[in-house]
Amino acid sequence: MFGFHLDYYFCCVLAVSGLLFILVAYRKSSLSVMPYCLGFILVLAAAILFFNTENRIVNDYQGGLDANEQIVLFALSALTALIIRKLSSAGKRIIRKNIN
Amino acid sequence: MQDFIRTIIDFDQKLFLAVNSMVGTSSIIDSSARIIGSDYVVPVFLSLILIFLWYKETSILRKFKARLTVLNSIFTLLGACSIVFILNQFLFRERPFDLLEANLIFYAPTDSSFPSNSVAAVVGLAIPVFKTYRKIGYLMLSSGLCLAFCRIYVGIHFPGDVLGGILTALVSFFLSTVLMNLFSRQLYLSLLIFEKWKWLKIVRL
Repeated sequence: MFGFHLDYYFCCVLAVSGLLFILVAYRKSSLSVMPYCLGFILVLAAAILFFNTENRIVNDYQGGLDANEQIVLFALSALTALIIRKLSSAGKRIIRKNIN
Repeated sequence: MQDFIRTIIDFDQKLFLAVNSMVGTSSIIDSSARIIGSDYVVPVFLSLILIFLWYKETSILRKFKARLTVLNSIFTLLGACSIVFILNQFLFRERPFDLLEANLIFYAPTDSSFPSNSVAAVVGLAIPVFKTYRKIGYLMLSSGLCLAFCRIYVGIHFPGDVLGGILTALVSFFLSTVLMNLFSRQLYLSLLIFEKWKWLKIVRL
């Protein structure tokens, strides 16, 4: 897609976003199955997207990621997913306020 | 003593060949093993579980307990990787595909085979969680063992390397727990700062 590093980053953002859907529903003890399903679908989609677009079984000196890069990129992607989640819920709140 | 070590190495190689000889029987199993044994699936899955544990609780006491477990997992992982790094300065074991007529269906790593770094890392992440949350711990440990089996299957580790990785993770867990007990007050204070400081609001759910 966009190069190994960016692909990994985007797929991790997608997977963590899916997890956040599940987490929020779990914390609210939501009885609706929708957020759980959406979360699982996002996590699965991230994995499928990552492995189906290119050959990912490559050594770190042949274009893959070494352990340090993985840790940094995963942390960044988790932070990005959290910020996206915060922004979207703030946006929702503003829209609701304006409607009322 | 040398005979004893030779016997263990022979047994290790026989066990490796028994697992690795199954390569080629099914292309679906082969590609699944390649993906599960890769550096991305199991580590990311376990990291997602750690994020879940970090945020799942709402009451302050349970939250701190869960977060201390997550911190213990991270310290155990870092410790395990450091131990593997130090061990690799002193001993080098060739990969199975260098020594035997193995079926290699993965990329060929160039670092030491013993102990398995990836197994040490994922088992290191799983052990502290297993100690506190049994069900989630079982899930994490079984994922780690699955990764371990797949790495033998694809031809890049001996079973002995995997065992070495697990032992490394256990040693690291012991050291990490001792260190965390020594610095428990500072850790609680850091967690309190994370919970209350307004500039960290962005990373709270």
